[in-house]
Amino acid sequence: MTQSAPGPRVPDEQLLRQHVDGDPDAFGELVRRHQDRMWAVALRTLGDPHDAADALQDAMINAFRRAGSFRSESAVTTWLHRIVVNACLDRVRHQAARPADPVAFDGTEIPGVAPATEPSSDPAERTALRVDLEQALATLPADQRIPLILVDVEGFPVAEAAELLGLPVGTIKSRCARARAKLVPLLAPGRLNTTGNQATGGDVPSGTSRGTGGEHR
Amino acid sequence: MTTAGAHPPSHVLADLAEGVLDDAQARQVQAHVDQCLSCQATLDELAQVTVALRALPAEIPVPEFVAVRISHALAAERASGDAASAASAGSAGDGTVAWFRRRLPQGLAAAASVAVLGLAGYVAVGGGGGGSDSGGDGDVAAAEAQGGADDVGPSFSTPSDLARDGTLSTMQEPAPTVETPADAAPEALDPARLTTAVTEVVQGDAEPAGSDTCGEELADELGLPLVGSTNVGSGVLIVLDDATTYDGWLITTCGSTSNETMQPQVEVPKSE
Repeated sequence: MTQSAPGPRVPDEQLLRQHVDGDPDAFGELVRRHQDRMWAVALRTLGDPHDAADALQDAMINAFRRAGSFRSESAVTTWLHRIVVNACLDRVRHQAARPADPVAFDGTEIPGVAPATEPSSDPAERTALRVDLEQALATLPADQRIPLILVDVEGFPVAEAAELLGLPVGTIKSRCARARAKLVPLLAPGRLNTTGNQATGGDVPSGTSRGTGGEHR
Repeated sequence: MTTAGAHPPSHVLADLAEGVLDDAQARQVQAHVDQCLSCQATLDELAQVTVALRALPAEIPVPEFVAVRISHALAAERASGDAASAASAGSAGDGTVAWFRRRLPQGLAAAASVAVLGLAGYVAVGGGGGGSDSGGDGDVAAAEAQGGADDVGPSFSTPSDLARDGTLSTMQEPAPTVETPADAAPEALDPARLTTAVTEVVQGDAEPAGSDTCGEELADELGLPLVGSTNVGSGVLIVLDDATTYDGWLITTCGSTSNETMQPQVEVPKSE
């Protein structure tokens, strides 16, 4: 996905500086470089492509405007990443202030989630699991999904996720724990072989998660 | 499998793994797990969840429509920056647009500049009924350059605390504003006119653009209730009921679906 960039690749930081100095093309190049990465963050965090598109746009405009405030202690990707996460969180807060949308997380199809990487290099089972994981993530409640995305998918240290979300470390940990528990049925032994299960793959977590992992005897 | 007591629910096992159980509970659960293969398997699966999540691809190809939207938004942002620096001693800006910016729901400030630009693009090509911002970056920039004036940073107040790490504080920075170019814009299409038109539709005072179902396709596509429609300029203004605002969408005909900006041209807060 990053095979473009003809010629020697200008470092991100330099592109950002060129943008601040008035180069009209520099920021666009930066966006092209990182948009697939940032799209993954936004889409997974929000679980809905339209919300993700809004958040990503907000984030990119925001980054465009405040590029001058970038300090080189962090990588440009880290800086962009935080801006995207913040834009997503802002959107979640915005949604929380509105009446809940009853169809938002109930297994409606999510275009763009399906992995587009070559499945040939990947056992079919793993691909199926990946798709199921993405779908299951999208069905988690936002207060569990977001900490889990930050910590398990994005690899943020728990303390940093806690700071981003404005929540105590213990809360982040237990919400991650709860979310993982809901995803366990996806990994239950034999699940990938029994095709019967897959038909209802969209609504895996909520109903059946509780006992299945631990109670078959 | 013989085990002492009931199996703890998997989320308790997950809590155990995360170390967030209190000491007494942790001891109790651990005692069960030590002699329960099933729960040990669940713990193993919990760890595998993390492994599987970490193994998800770091990138997901951004859909074309999103990439296009963002590059348009950035072009608009760039153009407005250019216009702002060019129009050095710009007047205080169009009061109506400033009002829009103040009243927009949070998070839509950036989108607003696109929406307004989309309108400028619409106006530029509006004679042909060509739709939204199909004029492309160049036209948008041109329209912007003609009309750019500096909007002295409206106090953008939002219901929730945005200031997490200052990321969103840019919304308070002076936001360049577009005045509809006088020579290109039919009077009917300036933002104030659109606001009035939306209000009239909401109040039932406007002449409908067609039958009651005019705009239904758009409403269906966006999943928002249709309020009504009216003719504006050479297009049709469809008013939809969004949660906190009435959104005015300028489209070509009653049967058109969303325009390319993917943003309504006008958003009028319900409370006003």
